Amino acid sequence: MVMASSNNRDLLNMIKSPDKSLRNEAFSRIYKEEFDKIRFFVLNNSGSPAEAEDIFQDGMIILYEQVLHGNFKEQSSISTYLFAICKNCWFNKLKKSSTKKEILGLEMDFKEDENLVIDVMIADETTKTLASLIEKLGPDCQKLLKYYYYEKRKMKEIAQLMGLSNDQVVKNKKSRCLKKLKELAEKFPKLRSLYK
Amino acid sequence: MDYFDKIDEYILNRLKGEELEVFESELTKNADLQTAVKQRSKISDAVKYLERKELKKELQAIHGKEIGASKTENKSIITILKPYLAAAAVICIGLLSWWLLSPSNTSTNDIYVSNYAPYKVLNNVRDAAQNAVVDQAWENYRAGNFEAAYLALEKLDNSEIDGQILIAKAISLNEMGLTNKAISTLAIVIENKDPFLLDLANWYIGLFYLKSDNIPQAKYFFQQLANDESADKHQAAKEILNSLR
Repeated sequence: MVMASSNNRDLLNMIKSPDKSLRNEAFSRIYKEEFDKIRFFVLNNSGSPAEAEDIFQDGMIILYEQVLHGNFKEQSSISTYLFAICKNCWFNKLKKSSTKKEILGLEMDFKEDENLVIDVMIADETTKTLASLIEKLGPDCQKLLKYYYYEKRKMKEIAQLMGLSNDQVVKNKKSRCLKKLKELAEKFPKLRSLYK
Repeated sequence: MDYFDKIDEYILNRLKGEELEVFESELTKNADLQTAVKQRSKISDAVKYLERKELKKELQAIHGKEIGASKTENKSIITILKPYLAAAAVICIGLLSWWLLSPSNTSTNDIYVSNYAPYKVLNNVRDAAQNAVVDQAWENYRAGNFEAAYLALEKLDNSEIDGQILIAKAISLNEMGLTNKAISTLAIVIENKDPFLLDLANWYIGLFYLKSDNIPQAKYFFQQLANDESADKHQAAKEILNSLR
């Protein structure tokens, strides 16, 4: 089971690893262990199989970010935590849903945690346009921005991961990437209000 | 303090104490700094959005590998069937409410016991790479050694898994007293909509809900069979529904 503590620790280290294959192996293990539970919960609470898949994947993304940013305590159970996140996401989705759906089997001890109620794929038009421009920056800039803004890694660590000599080189490269992004953004009418 | 050098630290929540206070105080009165913070926050949001999109794709691929076809592969058919599904849902809710209002006089356990028999594996589920495991599983299953059968079936590669194996796994789990887990296993067969096994899965899931005393859910699955005249257990399901009224 995923909750066994040494196994838990191994999984957490794999999730945090910058090695994508290790991270995905951890995801696969969690998927195999935990998905049925979430699917059963969603199906029993007015959801469809597709919604169960969606909620589980959103839950995994939140779990990943919590682990990556050091907000997940090592002694906590991944299984319990993931279930709480998914339950919360589903509860939130049901509340937002225009159709009145029957909520069967939502235990009464479930408390809504506003911090966890997030729709992970929501983004406004500006964000989506900027994202499409970041994709044009080239793989090194994308990787650097990902390490810095998403994974919140320190400059020294990024230097090591990217094979750069020191953190000053990372800072310079980051400035160049942002400058290039600004040049691209200024050509976009949608982004004019942001880059006035 | 060079405020523009501190923007990233601010949006990544790395500024603390006095440094944070000084920065926020400047932010309230410096319009250029406000614009720069807004720009950088949007960049951070965009990077996050891209990464989440990428992660979602990877998780969908993992889903396909570990569980079966991802919902994205079925999207078009779902879109086509949406209005029919909505109408069906309304009918189901109506039926469910009607059944719920009708009190039951028969013991659910009696109905379960008189209808339940473990599924008989008919043909050989063959897979060259997994023959030995499958043989061992069926041998145990037929002998009624359900725990050993289940353990053998668990060793099979999930991506290759056959609906018949899932049904056998569910029966084994039920025999081991793990009825809830058996229900989740059958839910996979129902979700896969295997035309040969869907009726069987509806039948067993109905029985297992009955065993768990979850009558509304049991009725729902028996109703699927009662609605389909061509279903193997059509008549039996109708009789169960009658006795549950």
